[in-house]
Amino acid sequence: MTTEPPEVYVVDDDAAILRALTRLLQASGYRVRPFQSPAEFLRSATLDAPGCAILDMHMPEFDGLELQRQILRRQSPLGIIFLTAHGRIDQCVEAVKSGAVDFLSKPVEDTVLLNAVDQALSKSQTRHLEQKEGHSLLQNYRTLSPREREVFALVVTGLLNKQVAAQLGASEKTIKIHRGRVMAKMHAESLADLVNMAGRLRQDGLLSEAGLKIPL
Amino acid sequence: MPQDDPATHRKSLEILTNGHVGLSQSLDVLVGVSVGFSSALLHDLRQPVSAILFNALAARRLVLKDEPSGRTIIEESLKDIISEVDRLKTLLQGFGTYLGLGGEDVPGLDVNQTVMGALGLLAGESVRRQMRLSTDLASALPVLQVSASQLTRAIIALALDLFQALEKAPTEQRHICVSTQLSEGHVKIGFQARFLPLLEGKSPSPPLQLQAWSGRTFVSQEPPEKITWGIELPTSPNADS
Repeated sequence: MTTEPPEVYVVDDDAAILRALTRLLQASGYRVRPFQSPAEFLRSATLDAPGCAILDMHMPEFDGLELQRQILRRQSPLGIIFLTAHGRIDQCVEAVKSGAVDFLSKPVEDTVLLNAVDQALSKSQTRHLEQKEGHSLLQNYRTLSPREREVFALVVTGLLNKQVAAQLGASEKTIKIHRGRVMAKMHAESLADLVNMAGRLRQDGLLSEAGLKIPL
Repeated sequence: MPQDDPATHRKSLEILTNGHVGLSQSLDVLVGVSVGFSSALLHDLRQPVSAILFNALAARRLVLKDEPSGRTIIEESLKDIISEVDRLKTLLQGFGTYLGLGGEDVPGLDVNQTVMGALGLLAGESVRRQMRLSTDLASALPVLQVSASQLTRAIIALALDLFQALEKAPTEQRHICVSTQLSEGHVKIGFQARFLPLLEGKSPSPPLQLQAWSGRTFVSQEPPEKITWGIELPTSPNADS
């Protein structure tokens, strides 16, 4: 099975720029999809896959920063590059703070642009992988029973089975069984693994996004 | 090379200092450009330059690859480079007219062409401010004996005033229609825009509208559809302007 290379999206309301940039990227070996309208891009682009989006700043429907906000709202892993003929410092700061890989001024040399595209694609792949891992982590967490979630929450704080048993009013043997199930369901190989998973579930906001929380 | 020719430099300087526009007025125009729409103009100049560069870079890569499939794309790139050079040339000519560096004004001015040239200079600024510009130009207008640069400046000044006045309006209402018409010995250039009511009283009295003119704002009770600013140009040199 062959995997298709990630797509590079170009969004620019200037038709001449759009054509020229598409040609340059295609001639450099990228799979390119051009869009003259940001709304059309949001409707048609594959936003849940790794890729790169090169965005113009000033467009008639809404500007590049608004488009970036909409992409982020959809939790897309796309790496974003701004390419503008008239960029202000405050726009650059907002774009980069919101995770843009680069903020380039037109005209730009091909080496600079293509480096930025490679960097955006690499970051996007990593983000996509993390999202997939986060998703499967959450799926695993959902399989835990309420009691197992309580055990999970206490075990990852470093408490011994005996201490967890005392806190939950259960026998040490019962806690040991619950703990074994937690390890198996979460696919954790060690306590350190489990602690890392708890950290990710908390830090990445995966639980709150799914309307869940770690009890206790 | 015209840019390196000292005679051209001298000529430009002469036009600026001794031509139909005085030095002080010329400098006012230059300052106006700097604080007005220079950044938008820079944006518009960078667009064709970028398109030329990207096309050239694409074509160069394809030439180096030397694949038959690339030939059509190379040809298309070259065609686009030519049309982008034309786009750049039009912009620069328009800017030259705006600054009054076009030399003596040619007798017999095409008003519609001047309107389109002036609006072309505002293309980037209108996108930046999310304004929609449309035109309703009358056909068969007489040619006029007026200064192209003065008319260009007047159109741009009016449009920029309206842009500013419409800044707070919802995006879908940020629309200016520029029209031309022949009426009673004059060619009229009209700017029509719809404004948000400033104050609304009990019906049926019309709401108060905020209007803008040459950087000043004032209040009027004219119904929105009648808010039109205009420039009237006499068709004959002896008529009142």
